[in-house]
Amino acid sequence: MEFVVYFFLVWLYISIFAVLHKRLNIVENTFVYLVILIISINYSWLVIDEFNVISLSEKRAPYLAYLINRSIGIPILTLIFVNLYTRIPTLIQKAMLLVSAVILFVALASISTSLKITKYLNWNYGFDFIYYFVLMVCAIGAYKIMHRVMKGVVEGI
Amino acid sequence: MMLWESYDKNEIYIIMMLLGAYLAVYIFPKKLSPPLMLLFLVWGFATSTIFDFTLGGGLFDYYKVNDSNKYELSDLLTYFLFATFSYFFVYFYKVLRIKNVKIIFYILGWTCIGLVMEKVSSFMGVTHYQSGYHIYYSVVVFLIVQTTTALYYELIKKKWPEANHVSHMD
Repeated sequence: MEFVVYFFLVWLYISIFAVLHKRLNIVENTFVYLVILIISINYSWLVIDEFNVISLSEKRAPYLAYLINRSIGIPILTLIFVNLYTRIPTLIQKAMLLVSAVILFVALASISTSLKITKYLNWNYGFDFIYYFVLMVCAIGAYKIMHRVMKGVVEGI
Repeated sequence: MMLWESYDKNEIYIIMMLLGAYLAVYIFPKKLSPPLMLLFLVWGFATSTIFDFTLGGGLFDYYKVNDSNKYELSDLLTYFLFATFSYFFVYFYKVLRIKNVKIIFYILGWTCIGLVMEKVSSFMGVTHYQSGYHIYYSVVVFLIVQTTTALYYELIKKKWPEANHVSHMD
């Protein structure tokens, strides 16, 4: 059940991303994906294996669900957010999108706990909110860095 | 999380390799545009991280990196080292004008280099196999990583024509 739920969610994110009118080009999208993947993997390892504030199911199917969410789901959903973020003109709309995205991520994390993939020991959704907020800021930062580097190349041609 | 369990040959090896690798990145003529240079450094970091944290940790736990199963600073430095391998893979792919059937031999060549480097890393105490893992399983990992890297580079060249230009950094 856990695996099916997360497989469906990841399929849904990929499908949305595929049909989305993308503002970022292939290099920018890949760069943001990889940066978020690195942060997501390191964060998961720290909270689960190093600090033991979240416990993870040791059964195969829930573990696979956790892996696809960590390595594909979260980065793809972040890419959708960044592509939408770059389309929006006003600062208030950008802030609203950011908060909505963070709430969506926290809601998705709550699915993980309700399906008993993860169990919060010394952790709560407030910490999740802070983490996903920082993650979204990092995604925007990664996009801006790559965009600036690419602009330099295009201007140099 | 800690700096390292004990500062010995594996830490010295990683630091020396790291200095050598980034010096080479700095010294070698720039053949990739800055965005691609940055992208493939991060690509190498990400692929090594995903395989290490999936196969080398968690439920599978097939190998240990450095002195313990805990996250050490030297583990992080190892991923920075892997970043340069990805960069040089694409760098020489471009310099040697690899295409068509040459791609197969290029990937096989890098797989051999990867296996030699892994054997040296194992000898220097960077990787320790456990739970029945053997070095020949790494052939699968190298083939997957290098094939996806080559195919992705080809895709980027098609989708982003500026990829072939090297900026004023040269």
